[in-house]
Amino acid sequence: MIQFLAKRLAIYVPMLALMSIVSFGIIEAPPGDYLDDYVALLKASGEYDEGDAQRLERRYGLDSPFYVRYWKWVSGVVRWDLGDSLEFRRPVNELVNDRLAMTVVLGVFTVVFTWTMAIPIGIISAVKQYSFIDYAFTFLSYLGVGTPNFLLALVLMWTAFSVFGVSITGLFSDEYIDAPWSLGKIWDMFTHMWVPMLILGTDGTARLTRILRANLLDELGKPYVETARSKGLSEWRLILKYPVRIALNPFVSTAGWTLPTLFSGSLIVAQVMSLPTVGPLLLKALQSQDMYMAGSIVLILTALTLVGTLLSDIVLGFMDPRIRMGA
Amino acid sequence: MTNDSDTLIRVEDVRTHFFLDEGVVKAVDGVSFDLARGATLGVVGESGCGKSVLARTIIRIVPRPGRTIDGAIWYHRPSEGGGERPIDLASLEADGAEIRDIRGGEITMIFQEPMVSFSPVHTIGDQIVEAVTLHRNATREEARAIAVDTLRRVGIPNAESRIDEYPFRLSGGMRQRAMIAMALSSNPTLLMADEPTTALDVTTQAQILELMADLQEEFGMAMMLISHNLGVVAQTTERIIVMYLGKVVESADVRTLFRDPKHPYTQELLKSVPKLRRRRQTERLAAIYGSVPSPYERPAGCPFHPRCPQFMAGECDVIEPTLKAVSEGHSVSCLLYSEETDS
Repeated sequence: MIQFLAKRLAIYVPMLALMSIVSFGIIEAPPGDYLDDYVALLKASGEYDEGDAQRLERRYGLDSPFYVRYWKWVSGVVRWDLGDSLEFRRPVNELVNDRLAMTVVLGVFTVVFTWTMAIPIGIISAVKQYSFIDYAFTFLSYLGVGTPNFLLALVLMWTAFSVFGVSITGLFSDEYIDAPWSLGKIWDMFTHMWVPMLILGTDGTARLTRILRANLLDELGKPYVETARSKGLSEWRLILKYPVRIALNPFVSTAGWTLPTLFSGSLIVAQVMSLPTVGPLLLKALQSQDMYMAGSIVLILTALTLVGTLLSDIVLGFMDPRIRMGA
Repeated sequence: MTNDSDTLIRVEDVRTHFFLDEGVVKAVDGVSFDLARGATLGVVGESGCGKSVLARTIIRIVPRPGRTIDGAIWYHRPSEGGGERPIDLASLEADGAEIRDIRGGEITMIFQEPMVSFSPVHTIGDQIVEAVTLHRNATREEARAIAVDTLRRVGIPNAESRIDEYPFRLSGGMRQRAMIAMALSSNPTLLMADEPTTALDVTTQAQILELMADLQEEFGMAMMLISHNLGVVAQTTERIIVMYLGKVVESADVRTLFRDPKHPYTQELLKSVPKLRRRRQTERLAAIYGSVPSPYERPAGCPFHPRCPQFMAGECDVIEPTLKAVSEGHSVSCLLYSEETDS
């Protein structure tokens, strides 16, 4: 297991370094340097100060070659100093911290929701293949895959507003939006969380249901299932112990990718529902060429993806001895 | 039903059919035989003759869309106070408590592919201990001790450490030994083996067959060995039934069957077994003419008639023969031996 993890880390650490270079490339991609834009902005607002500009030039090493600039940036990132946002004229990390936490929490909730729905439905659909219940779930899951998330969000929002007269946007009630963190605020967040969780989870649930059903149908015909049956185990017990366990492997191995998918997939939903997650921030940063912000968010997402993949590797290693022992 | 106290299983006219969109496949179509306590029976036939389905019918694990639609399987179940109680296994609910008690406990089964018949993500021990705790009144530690002991008896070296291995760490022969250990761990009255050596290399085959013969004697259980290979069956069993397209075409003890095969199909099967001391070494190995017909288009009359070298036009393709005794303990289902054609 340790050897297996060491091998994984040997791949992921260089990959993360590589991705930081790509992210920095994104920051540097727009013509002109960051300072030109900043100076232009300051001049336009009449707050220009020669001293500020020189201080910034030194800080980001803007007259040095690429690798020096990269090094200055990346050594800042390691200390969680992500540079300044051009748009908000505040350090990026201040802007990102809360939203990042919110995004991860929403992501985790959505994954938990997705799994608790998809696993039992997938199992029932496979075991009762071609039954009424299987057809019903198949119909629903096609509907789930086919409906764009943002459309579902709009429909839900409109229904909630016109029928119940409540607004279900955002993650907080008005009184908590700018309030400092407290138990009340956390509770308020949970009461708002279920709507975006439902919307974001529908698509994933539908997809995973189909995948699990297909995997399990493959496994149910395998000889080891017949062996288990010939032992005299009851049908449900043997299905849950043997084929389901193996059919779940792809779930675990793809769980790491779920987080970034939720980021990109949830961008439109987050925009529509005005959720305080990272997605809308990234969109805004890209629109206004706020490159330190954009590059930082891209790097954070990449890092989260790698961490997620590493976590699913670890879980998979525990679940499947063939992977753990490299067979 | 029988009063014969020696009988363990009496199969009466059992039919297991598969209801597919393309048609009905009569995998087992009116099979009857008796198996005495502690006796050995070989079931022989080409692929698709229904021999594997027959075994699965007995323990009621025929996969969908297969169904046992007719017949009785009288199992003389030993009861606690000594004595026995006949139960018709065919009438039990396939996932019910009673058949599950018998299945894997009193009647166990070994499968063809040792490489894939164990779950790859559970240890051998976990899978054997599960079988033991299901059928024997044992704690986990006791069950583990039984498992180690059985693994040792099937000739697995270092059983106490091998028990914690995953299947993919064992060779095919070792896995099949572990499979046999699992089937024996509950002290069955009947062990069914479905092509237990087909997936193994020839040396391992011989070892496994010898092991099974030894264990059968040691444990005193009845054994039903299913194989397409007459040689394998002849080595390990006393009686043989030959199946063709879901029907028993001939049934005899091993000696009689090899010395005096009656059914043309049995004769052809025997001709296709290679012999070391052949009169002319250049002689080609005989193959049975034609191939097994499509399961959806069973020939009328005798199912073997399109391939039969002794085909009688107007008889074999019209009249369906039934199993008749030609001598004591030897029956054949062929019109060549029925009174109608003799006269």
